[in-house]
Amino acid sequence: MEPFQTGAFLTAGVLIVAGFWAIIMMDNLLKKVIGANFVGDGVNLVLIGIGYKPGGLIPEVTPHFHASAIPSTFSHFLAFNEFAELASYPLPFALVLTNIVIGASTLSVMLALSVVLYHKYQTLSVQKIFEAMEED
Amino acid sequence: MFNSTLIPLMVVFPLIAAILVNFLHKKDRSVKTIAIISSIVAVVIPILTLYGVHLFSGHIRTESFPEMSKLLIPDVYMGIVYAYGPLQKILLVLLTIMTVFVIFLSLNKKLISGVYIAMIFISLASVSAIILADDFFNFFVFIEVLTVAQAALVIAVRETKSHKAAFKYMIFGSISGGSILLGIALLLGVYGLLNMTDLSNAIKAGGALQPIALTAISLITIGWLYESGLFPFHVVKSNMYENAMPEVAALLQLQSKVVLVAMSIALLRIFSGYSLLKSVMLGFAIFTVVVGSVMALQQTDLRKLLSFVAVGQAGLVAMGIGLGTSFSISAGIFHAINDVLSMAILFFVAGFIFEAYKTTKVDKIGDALQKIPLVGLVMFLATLAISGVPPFNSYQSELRIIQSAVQAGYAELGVLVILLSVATFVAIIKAFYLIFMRPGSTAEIDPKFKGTMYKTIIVVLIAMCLFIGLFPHVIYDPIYNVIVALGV
Repeated sequence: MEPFQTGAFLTAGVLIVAGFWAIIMMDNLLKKVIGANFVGDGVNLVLIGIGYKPGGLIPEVTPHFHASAIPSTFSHFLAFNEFAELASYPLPFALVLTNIVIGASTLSVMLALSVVLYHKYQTLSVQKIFEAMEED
Repeated sequence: MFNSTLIPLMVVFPLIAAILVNFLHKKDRSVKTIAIISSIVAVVIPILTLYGVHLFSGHIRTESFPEMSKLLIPDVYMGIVYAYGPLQKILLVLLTIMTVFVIFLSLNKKLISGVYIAMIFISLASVSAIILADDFFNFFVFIEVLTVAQAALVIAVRETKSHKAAFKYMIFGSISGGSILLGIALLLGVYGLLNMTDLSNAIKAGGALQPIALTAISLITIGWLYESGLFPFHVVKSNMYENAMPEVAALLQLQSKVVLVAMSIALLRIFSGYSLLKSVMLGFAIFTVVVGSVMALQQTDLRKLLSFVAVGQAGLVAMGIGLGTSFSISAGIFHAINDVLSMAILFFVAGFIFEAYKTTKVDKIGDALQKIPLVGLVMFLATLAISGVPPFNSYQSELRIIQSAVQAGYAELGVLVILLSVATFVAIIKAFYLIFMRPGSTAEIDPKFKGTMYKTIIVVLIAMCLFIGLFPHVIYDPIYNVIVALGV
């Protein structure tokens, strides 16, 4: 495992644990939302760590491979085998991009709900909101 | 003309409908027309589509280049794959029919909000994708989309309690989503694959599971528990049901059970050689059955009561699946189908009562049988149906679950199924007596409310329950054949 990957996985672990801790232990609605976001970010970091390859080509921006190409005839093309050996694994990055989009939509709904609850009860404390709801 | 190329349309079409009605928000007549046409077309598509596999972007199965990728299987799928077979067809037809009913009821109640109808269509598209997807990440994406859409449907009630329920659902959803994605990430790290068929083959070829793959199973199982509304997440799910409009609750419980079935099959297919998974599923299912039925017995609000009954019944479905034999898994899936029909009737009855009396508190309503005899009769029949009384549908599935439990050497689980049926019957019949037969009512019925749409739908559904009860092989046999073919 590369040092970058070790660092990424450790950071991801810290983010996920901190996120869970915030969701379960924090009383503030916004802190819970931030915690939920931390969990998503930690998982994204795990995916980035999985896809990392030291010195690897970035498949999306490097010249395409050609099934029958040999470097001498197409100097800017790589043979498939060569390309596949050098390229980073692109799938995790696609997953991270998708997860960022999903995370943003989930986050926006949670924040909107927090705003609604704040307007109703004038507090972000979960305990106080629960108490007020029981009184209602 | 109608071939397997229509498969992605089952996801794409509801999404397009959702975009259209969302765009036409506040133009009530247009929203109504598009919603009615689209929902009917959504039912027709799975009926016309032929069985098959759809390869997105035409990516065919290709060599895995084991010298570079270290994969132990000779060929893999290079893109997202949707598979459509008899089981998917049954689930999708059921899902789309129920969605039509819910859309019709929503439109009938003047709930013609473009955004609201859009959320129903998005949830339909999400569950359709979950049923069809043979790709783990696609599966995850639509589970997340479904969570947001379901939360939005509950938020639409515009009560603080519903906001609280939706917020809790979203927060726990982020934990569950994170767990599933982390599990998928770990599997991707170990096997380099996301396609379920390929993952299953790779795991079989690789022999014993690595510790990291076991961690992945645990994480995905947490997601499975949450999405299915099983113990310990049963309270979150039942909160959602009770705070949604009753007809939406009927749709939500259907979606949860369909996701439960789809996710269970995915897990069992991928980790078929890992027997502890089935034991874990069975354990959580038993807890859910017990907790769900005990909680249901304590409720005095019809919606809350039905919410816990729905949770307990989900436990029964999971129990069938967790027993792990082809017979029990088929019985569990069959029960999921039967149960969503019976539960939907009961939720629609709750919707009717809510519209007529503006409350679902059983101690406030009474003597309703004289005012709404048809609804009372259908509720009584639905209570018999969900309690497993012949000749209704749940009798056929519960009998099969009991038989499979005995065959698997767990006769005591058969007793538990009978106890659940009794508890369900007692809980609902108590509510039935209080609402329909107890003399005296503190709540007044709205004389203007006719509820013709509600009455039509519940009569159609009880007829479906009776039909399946009399001819169970129409539904059960295709399910059993699929499960045997999958070899889970």
